[in-house]
Amino acid sequence: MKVIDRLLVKTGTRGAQRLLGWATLVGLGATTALGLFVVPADAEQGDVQRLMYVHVPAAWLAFLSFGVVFVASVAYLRTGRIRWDRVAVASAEIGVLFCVLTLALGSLWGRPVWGTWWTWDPRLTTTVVLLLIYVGYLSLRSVADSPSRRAHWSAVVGVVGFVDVPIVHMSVVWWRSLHQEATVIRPGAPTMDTSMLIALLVGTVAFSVAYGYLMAVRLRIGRLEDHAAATVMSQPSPRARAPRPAATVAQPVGGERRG
Amino acid sequence: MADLGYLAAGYGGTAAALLWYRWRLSRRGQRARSLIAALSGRPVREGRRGR
Repeated sequence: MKVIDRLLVKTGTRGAQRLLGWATLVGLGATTALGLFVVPADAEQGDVQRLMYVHVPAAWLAFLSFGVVFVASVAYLRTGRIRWDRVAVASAEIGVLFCVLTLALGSLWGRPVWGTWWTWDPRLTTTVVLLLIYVGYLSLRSVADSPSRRAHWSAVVGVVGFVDVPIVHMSVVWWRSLHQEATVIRPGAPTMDTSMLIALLVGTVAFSVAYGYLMAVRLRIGRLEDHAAATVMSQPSPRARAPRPAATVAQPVGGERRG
Repeated sequence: MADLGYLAAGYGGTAAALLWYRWRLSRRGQRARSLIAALSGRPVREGRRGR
């Protein structure tokens, strides 16, 4: 936890964020150049297979984001520090973005290869469930009426919701699936050409840097929004500012009901 | 040729999504800053960390 704490301090500076922003641009540019122009097309699927260099890193990023939500939620439940709640919600937001991207890119890849935009395949279905869990996580936050209750409820969902991540990963092994099996994170050597594997790793690193950048920016915005909410709460209400009529103070008969 | 359309949609969509999210974050930051400035009467100074 102390390592993460120190990392958060380092990425909180403007200079670090600018550096991460540039690194993200360079990384994503390199991924695009490698994926579209350098690596050869797949022998069976042709050029459309080049979508793999953004689809797989996007999926990895969704898993990473939800993993961070899990760790930060556990940390919040153990320590009760609101900082962990900020980390969890920032990561959940970015995770939802990348989960949507994963599904959209998979659909684009599936249309020419499988002949359909969508099918209720185990991998696709469990990924949609994953997306719905974290959309629910974000929606839940607008229901709670106090910051501590909001943080507590969402931390519980952040811990329980992570159960779906290993299910998504193992879905292609446990059930008969149209989706291909894992080619990199699997027992034994990766079943992929070296140049393709390098492009995929570059994409994964680039997306991870993009995650770091977006997290740093999102955490800064989160602190600002919390500060704004605290400023609003510290303002006296219009009723408190208005002068009280003397008669109401002396004779509180038939006063308004508080509900 | 059809493959190029899928690739353009995939890579272009990814870039657009990332740019949209970054733009949305900066809008949220601006809104929070202007709210704080309006209520407290002084501009927001951003340090290394808030609280």
